[in-house]
Amino acid sequence: MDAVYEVHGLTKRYGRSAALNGVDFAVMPGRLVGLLGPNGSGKTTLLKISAGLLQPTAGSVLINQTPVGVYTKAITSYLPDRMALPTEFTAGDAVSLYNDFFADFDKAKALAMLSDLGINSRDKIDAMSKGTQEKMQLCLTMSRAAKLYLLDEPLGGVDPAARDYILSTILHNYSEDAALVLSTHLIGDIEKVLDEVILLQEGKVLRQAAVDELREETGESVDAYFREVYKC
Amino acid sequence: MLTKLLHYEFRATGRIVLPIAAGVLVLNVLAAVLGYFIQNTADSMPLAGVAMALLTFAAYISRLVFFVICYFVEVRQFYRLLGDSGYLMLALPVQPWKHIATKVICGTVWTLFGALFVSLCAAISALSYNAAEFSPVNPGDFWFCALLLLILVVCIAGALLHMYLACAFAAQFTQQRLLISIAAYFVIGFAGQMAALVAVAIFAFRGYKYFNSVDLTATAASLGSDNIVFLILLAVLVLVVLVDALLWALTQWFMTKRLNLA
Repeated sequence: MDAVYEVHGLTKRYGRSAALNGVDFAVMPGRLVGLLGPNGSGKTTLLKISAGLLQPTAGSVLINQTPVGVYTKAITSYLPDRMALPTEFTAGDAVSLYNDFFADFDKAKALAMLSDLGINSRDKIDAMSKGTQEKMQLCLTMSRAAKLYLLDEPLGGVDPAARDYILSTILHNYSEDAALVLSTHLIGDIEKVLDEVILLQEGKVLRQAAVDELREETGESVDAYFREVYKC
Repeated sequence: MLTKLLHYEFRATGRIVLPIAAGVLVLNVLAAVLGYFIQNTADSMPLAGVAMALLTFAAYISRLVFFVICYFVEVRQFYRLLGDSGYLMLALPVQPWKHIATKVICGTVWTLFGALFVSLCAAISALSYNAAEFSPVNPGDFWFCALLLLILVVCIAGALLHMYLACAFAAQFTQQRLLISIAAYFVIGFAGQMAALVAVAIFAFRGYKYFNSVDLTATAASLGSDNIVFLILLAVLVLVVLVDALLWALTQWFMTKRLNLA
C-alpha cells in the first residue's frame, strides 16, 4: 500500500531561522497520527505547507503521490488553527460554500452535525461564540470524505467538555481508509486514540513511531515520554 | 469554479455595499425633498436653513464616501485573502488566477456601480433630471464610445491590480503588512512612472528619425481625423492592457511562488 502523505527533505526558512529543517516522514492510509511538539517546533508550518498555504524553501510534500496543488486540495480536508470562515456569512452560506467547492462534502451530514450543536442555517457566524465557531469549522472539515485530514491544534483553547466533543466528532467522522494528522501539545487527551506519533523538535523529526511500540519501548505513556523529551 | 467564486464574492461584498447604498439613497432623497420645500426661509425659519445646509453637505459627503467604499471593498477582500480568510479560500481546489480574476471582476463592477449610483444620487439631489439633457449615442459613435468605456474598465482593473500587487508583496512579511502594503503601493507607482518615462524617452529618441520623415498632415487627411483618434485610443487600450497584464502576472507570481499566509 502506498503512503497517502509523504514529506521529503522539507525545509522552510524565515530569514536565517529555520521553521522546518529537512523533515522526512510518510503516513499510510487508515492511520490516525499525532503531530507532536512544543510551541515553535514547526507543526503549523508543516501543515500549512501541506495544505498549499505556504511555499517551502526546499523539499517536497506528496499527497496521494501528487505534489501540493489543486488536486491535493480537493482530497485534503484542512482545519486551520484559527477561524477562517468569512464572519459575514451565515452558517448556511458556509455549508453551501463547502458543498459547492468540495466534491467529497456531505451536506446532510454537516447540517445534522450543526443541528446537534444547536446552530441554525440562518445564524450569522460573527454572532456565534468563539467556541461555537471553532466547532462549526471542525464539523465542516469532518463532513468531507477526504483521503487526508490535516487538523491544526483542534483542541487548542477549548474547555475540557468541548475537547471531548471535538475528539468524538473527529473519531466518528473520518473515513477508515483516510489518514488523519492532528497537531497538538495536549497529548493526554488524544493519546488513547492515536495509532502513531511524529515528534518534532526545532524543525526536525525527532521520532516517528507507533504509539503501542513507543509505550512498550519506554515503559511510559506518550504524554510522560513527551514531557521527558521536551523538558525545559 | 470562477462563477462560484464570483457568486460568493458578490454575496459577501453585497452585504456591505448594498445596505450602505440604501442609506445613502435615503439620505439623498431626504435632502432633495426637504430642499425642495425649504427654500428662501432664512427670515421665517433661520435654523431650518442651517439644518438644510448641513443635510445637503452630509448628502454630498455620503456620495463621496460611498464611492470610496465601492472601490476599497474589494481591496479589503484581497488583503483579507492573504490573511485569515485565505486559510479557507486558498485551501479550496481553485487555481490562484481565479482568485485574482474574481477580485478584479468584482472590484471593477462595484466601482462602476459606485460611479453610476453616485451620479444617480447627484441627479436626485438636484431634482433636475431631464431625459432630454442626455443625448442618445449617435450610431456612428458607437465604437468610439465602446472603446472609451473599455479603456475606463481596464483602467479601473489596473488601479485595483496595482493595489492587489502591493498587498501581495506585503504578504511576504510576517509583521506590519498594512504599512508595507501602503509603502509598496507608492513604490510600485513610482517605479511604473519611471519605467514609463524611460520608455517614452527611448521611443522619442529612436522614433524621431522615422516620424520626422512622415507627413502627419497628409496621413491625417488620408485616414481621417476620427480614425486617427480611434487608433490612438486603441493604442492607449493596448498599452493599459499590457500594464494590467504585468501587474496581474506579478501578483500571481507572489500568490503561487511566494505564498506566505501570516
